[in-house]
Amino acid sequence: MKNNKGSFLTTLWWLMGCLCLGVLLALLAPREARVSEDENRMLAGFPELTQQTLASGEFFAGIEDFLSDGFFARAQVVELTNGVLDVFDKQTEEQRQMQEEARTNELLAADAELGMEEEEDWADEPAEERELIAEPTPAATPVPTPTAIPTPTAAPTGTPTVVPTSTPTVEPVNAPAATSTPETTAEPVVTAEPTAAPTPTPTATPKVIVPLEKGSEYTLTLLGEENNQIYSYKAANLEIFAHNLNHLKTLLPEDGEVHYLHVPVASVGKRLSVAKSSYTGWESTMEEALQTQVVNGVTVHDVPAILNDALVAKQDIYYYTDHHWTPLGAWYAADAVMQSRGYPSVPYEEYEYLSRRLGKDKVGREDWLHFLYPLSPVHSYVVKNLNDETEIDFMHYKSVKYTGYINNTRTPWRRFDTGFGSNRKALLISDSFGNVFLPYMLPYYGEVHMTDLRGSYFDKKEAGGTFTELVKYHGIDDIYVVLSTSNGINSRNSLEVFWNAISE
Amino acid sequence: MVFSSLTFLLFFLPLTVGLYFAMPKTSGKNAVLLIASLVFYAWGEPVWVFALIGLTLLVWACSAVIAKSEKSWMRRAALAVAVLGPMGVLLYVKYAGFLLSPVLGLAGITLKTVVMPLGISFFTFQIVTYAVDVYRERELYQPRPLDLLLYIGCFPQLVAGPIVCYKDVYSQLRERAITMDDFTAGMKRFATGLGKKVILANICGMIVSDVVGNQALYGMSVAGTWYMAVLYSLQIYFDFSGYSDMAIGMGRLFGFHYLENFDYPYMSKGIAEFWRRWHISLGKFFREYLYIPLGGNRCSRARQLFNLLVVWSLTGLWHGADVNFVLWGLYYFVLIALERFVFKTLLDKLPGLLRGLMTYALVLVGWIIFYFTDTAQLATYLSAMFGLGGVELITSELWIVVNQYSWFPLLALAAAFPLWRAVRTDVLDRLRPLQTVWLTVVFILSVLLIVGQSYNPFIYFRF
Repeated sequence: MKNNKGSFLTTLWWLMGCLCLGVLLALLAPREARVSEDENRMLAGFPELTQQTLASGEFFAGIEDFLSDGFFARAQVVELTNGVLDVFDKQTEEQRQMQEEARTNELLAADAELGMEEEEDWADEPAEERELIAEPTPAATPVPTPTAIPTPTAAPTGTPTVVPTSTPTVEPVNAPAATSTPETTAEPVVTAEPTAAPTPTPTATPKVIVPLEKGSEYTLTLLGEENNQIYSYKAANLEIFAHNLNHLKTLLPEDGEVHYLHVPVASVGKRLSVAKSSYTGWESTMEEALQTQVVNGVTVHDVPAILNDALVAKQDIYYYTDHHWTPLGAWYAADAVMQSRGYPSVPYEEYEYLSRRLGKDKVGREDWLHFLYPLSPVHSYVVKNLNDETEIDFMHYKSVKYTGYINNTRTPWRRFDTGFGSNRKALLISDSFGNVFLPYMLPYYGEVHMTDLRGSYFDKKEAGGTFTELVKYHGIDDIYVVLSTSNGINSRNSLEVFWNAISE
Repeated sequence: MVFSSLTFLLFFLPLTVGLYFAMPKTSGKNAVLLIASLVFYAWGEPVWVFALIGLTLLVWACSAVIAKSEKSWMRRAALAVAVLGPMGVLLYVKYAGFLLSPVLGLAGITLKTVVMPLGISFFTFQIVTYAVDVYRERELYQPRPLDLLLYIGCFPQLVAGPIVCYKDVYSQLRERAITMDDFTAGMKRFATGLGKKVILANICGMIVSDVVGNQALYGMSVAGTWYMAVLYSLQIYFDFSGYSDMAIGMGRLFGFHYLENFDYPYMSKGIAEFWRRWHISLGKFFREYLYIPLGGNRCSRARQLFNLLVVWSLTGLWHGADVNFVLWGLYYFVLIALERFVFKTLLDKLPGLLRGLMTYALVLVGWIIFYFTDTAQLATYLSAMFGLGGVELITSELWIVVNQYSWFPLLALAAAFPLWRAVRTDVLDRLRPLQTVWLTVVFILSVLLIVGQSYNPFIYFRF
């Protein structure tokens, strides 16, 4: 009887505990959508309650996301549950390595899909998300749909045809590999259209099927015995993005310049740099095409070309356990950009760093964070409401995460007083790939400003003005746009969000 | 709403239980349960709750005619409306695309499909059982439409069963006693089901995805296909039986005693036995409301075969509007016909263990048919299972996945068998106090897994 009563009370407490937890969550969970740098996605806020969201069921799904994403100590819970799964993991090192390769291939496939995806969310970085395999994540909260997208008034040269958005088609362009040895099995089966259920392929021999969106004229291609097209870009999207860049130029003084860098994410870069890679380089045709469509004073830099030699030489310019590039990769790009402007190069070795281990992948390859000690004292501010400044550390030197760079992405606006005598001011518009790029801009400017225009990062109310007003207010001379392939030209949604932000 | 969601666990269930027990009388409890069930069903798909209410009212009106009319033709007509109305809706939302699209497609007509409402296959069958039960026994007529709506829409069994026959619960709708032991046993059963679903089924599902993905990358092997089949058999078993456990547990919490839906099906020594242990309520429905009315076993062999063919074709179709589900049903028709009419004597002479292994192997093949909706893929996969098409016996890449989850599949496999029955009763009694502690751990871990892991599909929801 005593046992029965004890069991009854225990089970009763299950329910009461759940209810208490639920009430606390409802009261304390953040109600605003926010970015998780750890999970690299938007965490859901409280869903919007309208007649439409109720009728469609979106509200109810949003509640579940709100509870899950706002759960107390969520990061620890995710870590714990991953730990539960790891209990069973008895793989050998060799098997881990094979799985790593397979995973890279999957990411490659995911990136290839991403390259064609019309509806990808500017604020999400889906391919990158998938790279953080350890933390599967629920669906992200959609970012409010922008209201308008610019229609390019004129194409400067080589007028590209505007291609209607349509369902991507798959065009196999490579022949299947002929052997089934482990080396060759590193090549994935890449399907262009995701299917509801996983679908096995009947062939024993792996092969490469490369998606190329119909109407896409520009590609990023891994070169080797078999060329492997990773991204394809639509001419129409290039046209829109050129329009965006040209608009940015109009906000600057006459001698002001706009520079654009479109950076492939690590899953693509690692394809070249991994030890077993048989690729001999990569090549992108998008930059040259985009360059022809922008006005004087706007430069499109060919990042794949800049990074090519370093990648082929297997230098660590991408992380293994994170989707970003390393400071070395960013330095290569920044140095090339500055040299193209006629500025002197500051060798990578001349900078000083505090290094911390970021992590180790399952094959044992270590990733290191290199937090820059600036050449001159830097004062770093978070700026809200036009000029309401809060000084924060330039780097989070104790961090063991990528978010330690420039002390994390902060909204809505950053300003860095570089300590150098230049009276020029630069603005960096970027996603998180800009966080390691920015330090290498410091020696060339008196002030470097930074903003992230993705989804919830830039809010004009919080910023105290529209983007245009802020650029004018701060007296920006040059604008650098550094975006990863997850956020650049690939997605129409990205383009819309970008345009809406800069055109207000 | 699904049981393994935070919304359900943190708000819906505790609030419903609290309000339920705050009501002193059964009528009040019923009211709480009914409102909760409508909210539960409307959560996510608000529109279809009106269809549920509408169909219930239709059947209730028909059942009044069936119960009160003295004219045989009128009773039959009312029964026909009560059965064909809901079945027509089911047919339209679930099968119209599958059945009509190929024909209409030839004429260039595109059929406008609608999203299938949750659990329609389950509650339609419950509606049918009510109408037929009233037709057979007038005194089962339910004069209160709200009580009928509660029977059909009671949230524990609304969206994924078990399919509760009206005659089994009608008395409980008016009067039921709930003891402390009922509450405890119900909650424990719920926690067991939650653990089965969130811990065992979901992790098995991850392995299945990994194996299939691995095979997509490296090609199939005989061992890989069987390994996948075993894992999928465990996933679907823990997924569905876990849901049934939760439903039965909650039913008991509210004073309803639902029949068991699973009885360790993988220990069956024959296909017919497997189906007496798997989704028992569906088998019972088809047996009582279709197979026996068709003549059952008490007829010629040819007629029996016809009856079996009808039952198994519909069983397959009930699971989904796709060719593979029809094939899956027909596969079991063939197996059961062979077992009953051809190999019965031979099978009876075989050792039990061998029969058990053979049965499990045949069931695994069945699950592969069930898994692949694309018939070309299905054919390829089945060929690979039997070493056809030049596939390797085993690939080194398979070991990557096998080692990644190491002994978890064995653990899951062990959980699919009643190993505890081998333990002496007195030992079990001594361990009983630990059961609550163990289930508390399972419950907490399940909640954390719901937060931390995104892989949480319910396979049987799509039916």
